[in-house]
Amino acid sequence: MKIIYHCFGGSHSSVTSAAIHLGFLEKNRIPAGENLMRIPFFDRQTSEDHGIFRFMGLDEGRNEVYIIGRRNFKNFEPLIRGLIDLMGIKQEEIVLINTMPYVTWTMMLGGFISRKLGWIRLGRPIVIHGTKRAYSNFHTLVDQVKVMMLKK
Amino acid sequence: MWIFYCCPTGGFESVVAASIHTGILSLNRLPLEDELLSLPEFGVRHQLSGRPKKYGIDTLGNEVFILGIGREKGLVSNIVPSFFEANKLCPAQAKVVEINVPKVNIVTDYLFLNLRFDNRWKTKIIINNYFHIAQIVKEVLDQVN
Repeated sequence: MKIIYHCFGGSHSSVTSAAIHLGFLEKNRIPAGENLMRIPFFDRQTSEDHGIFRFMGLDEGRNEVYIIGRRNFKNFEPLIRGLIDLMGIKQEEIVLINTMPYVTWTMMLGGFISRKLGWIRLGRPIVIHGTKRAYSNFHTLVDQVKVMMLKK
Repeated sequence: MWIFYCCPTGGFESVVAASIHTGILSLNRLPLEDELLSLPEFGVRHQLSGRPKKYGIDTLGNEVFILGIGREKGLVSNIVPSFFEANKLCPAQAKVVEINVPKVNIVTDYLFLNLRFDNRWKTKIIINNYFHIAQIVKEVLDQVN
């Protein structure tokens, strides 16, 4: 099974969620900024990286976990579902998780400053602060994903 | 190979391109307005479903699709081959062609995507840019041959 966490830029919420899923970050402890920065792709991706699936690792069930930045493309999930049908893959083999509903305005602001404007020294601390504040949202999301997968 | 012709609505430029590619329309002759209006899927706003729609097969057996991508230019060109690669398929098997037509811009896209303006107006724009689209298709055909 493939689990794909997707967000606007593929740099913050999707990456954090995938890292929690894979056990790179502890669920019950808000990570330090340095720990977030050690996650692959955290506050790293640029607009050229948007639309590219990045493999994050295998979870305990040997499911492949990916992240992707898909900007504001409203039809991202229908496109992927359409491609799955064309490829003859079973729909239930691919799980798409939108992490944007869990993103706070601080994360958006910091992410914009860091990634879009390139003012990393200003934006990165803001997005890290925002990610820490929203951390419980992401680990709740991951818990829900794992429960859903157990039911399948 | 799978060839995806993309435009904002999935119902105009991409349909014309796919029709040229599959031989329904000519590379060298300007079609009449009614010929365009009678094309399968012409004027259907496929971006509403978001799913690629199979249009036909070319003379080399490549499958040709049309796809509405809204305003997100450049993104789908990454998504499709990357998804192929993630599923252990050769990304070169997926060719994404975004049809960008001069004078089709954010204003005209909004009119046709959201306000559902009359297809005949769009048809005139397509005819004015027909050989631009045909040139794009010719380049694709040269690459896949």
